Amino acid sequence: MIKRTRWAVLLGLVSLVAACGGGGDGGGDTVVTGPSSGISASFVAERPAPGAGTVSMVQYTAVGDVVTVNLRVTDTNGIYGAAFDVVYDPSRVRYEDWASGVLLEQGGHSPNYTVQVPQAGRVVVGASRNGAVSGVNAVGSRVMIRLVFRATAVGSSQISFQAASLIDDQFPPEDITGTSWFGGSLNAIR
Amino acid sequence: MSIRRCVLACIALMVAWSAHAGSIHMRWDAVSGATGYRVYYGRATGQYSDSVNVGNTTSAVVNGLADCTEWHLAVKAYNSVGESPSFSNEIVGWARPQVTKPTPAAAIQGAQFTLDISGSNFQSGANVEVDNPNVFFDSPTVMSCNQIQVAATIEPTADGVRPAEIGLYTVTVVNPDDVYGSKSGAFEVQVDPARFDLDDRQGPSRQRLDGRDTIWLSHLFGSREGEAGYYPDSDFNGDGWVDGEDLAYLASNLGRCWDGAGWSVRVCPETIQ
Repeated sequence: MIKRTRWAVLLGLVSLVAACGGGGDGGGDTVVTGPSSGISASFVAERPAPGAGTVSMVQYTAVGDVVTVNLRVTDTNGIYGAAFDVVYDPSRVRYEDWASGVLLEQGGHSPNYTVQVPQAGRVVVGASRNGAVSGVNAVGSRVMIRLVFRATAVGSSQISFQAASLIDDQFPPEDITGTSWFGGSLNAIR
Repeated sequence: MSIRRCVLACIALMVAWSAHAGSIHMRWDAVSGATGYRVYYGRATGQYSDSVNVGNTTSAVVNGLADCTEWHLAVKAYNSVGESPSFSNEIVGWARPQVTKPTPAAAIQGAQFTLDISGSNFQSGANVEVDNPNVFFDSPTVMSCNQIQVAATIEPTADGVRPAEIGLYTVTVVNPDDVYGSKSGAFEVQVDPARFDLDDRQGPSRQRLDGRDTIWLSHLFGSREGEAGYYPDSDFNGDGWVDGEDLAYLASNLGRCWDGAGWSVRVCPETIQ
């Protein structure tokens, strides 16, 4: 199932989220609306205060059954992009949308974001700068991309990374070694 | 009167062969004093079983000619006095070839295969052409006047060179007398999906399309053939650019694994399904 793909460069789209000057968490709001399910959801980060060399998920907003999760990179240099899957329990959680972060957009750059849902329970993401440009540094925690999920059933569901790599700006691209990845859980109550 | 008739007899007949199958398009030099022309045609030289008055024009299309047979055509001029006593020179040939359908009608970049072309009026020694410089139709064999077989290659067949540009192309059959017939959009070059796996190094991305492949392509995004940084294996559609169209091929298959012929989620290892 292909959910959605956007190419910021190809389509010349302005980011869905306006860049937030200087802020570590960047971005504006992603709004996903829909009928209320009576479910109230929140996201609990596996590593709320991540150290250097990490990519971690943290809740950005929670409105009703919709939770927006920031995927942030902490204290890592020379980042050209990131390739990863996000997996979750499709019987409890549904992926809704994505929004750009600020990390890859430094210097007014327009990155490529490719986000697809090949099957329920898995989001495949490729986010990177584009062309022959240098990588960027994440000083402190910087949001690379946001993912929006909706809780569809009461309970707790792990949201985790798989096949994840931060990629440097060499060509051919190489992994930035020593990166740790942390997800979390989406908890839904009625 | 005799002078006039002499003039009317001197027609230089030419043939353009550019009408529909079963037809011949012919033209000739105008004759001074002529008020019209009549085209004669038949299946033997000098023996014209039919004729058609085409009026005061110097070209005509003779339709309704049987396929795969030789036709002989000549023209006479006429005026108020009558028709010239002699014919123009005679032209001889088949009706223009018609390309009906190549089989297969599509193939992927790098393919080598036998192509059958059906149609009519294919003469022994006919050649087959296509308007894509990377597609080669070699060793044409006229199996019958309705079928030609060629050895087809969509170059390049190896990596590292810009692939054939995808799209629909015109197939043309050229008879030995240079009379030709074409069918536009008859043959399609399709993208080779096996090329999408740009980062095929050992690891989670091997034989799977994921973010690593999009990042690989992103490095080359915007590069153009002839420029530094152009990497032909990332130019999936062969248009000389690494751009959003190429990224779209990756994006539409992201998260899928190679099943030997295409990209499918079903064949992904369970750990990443």
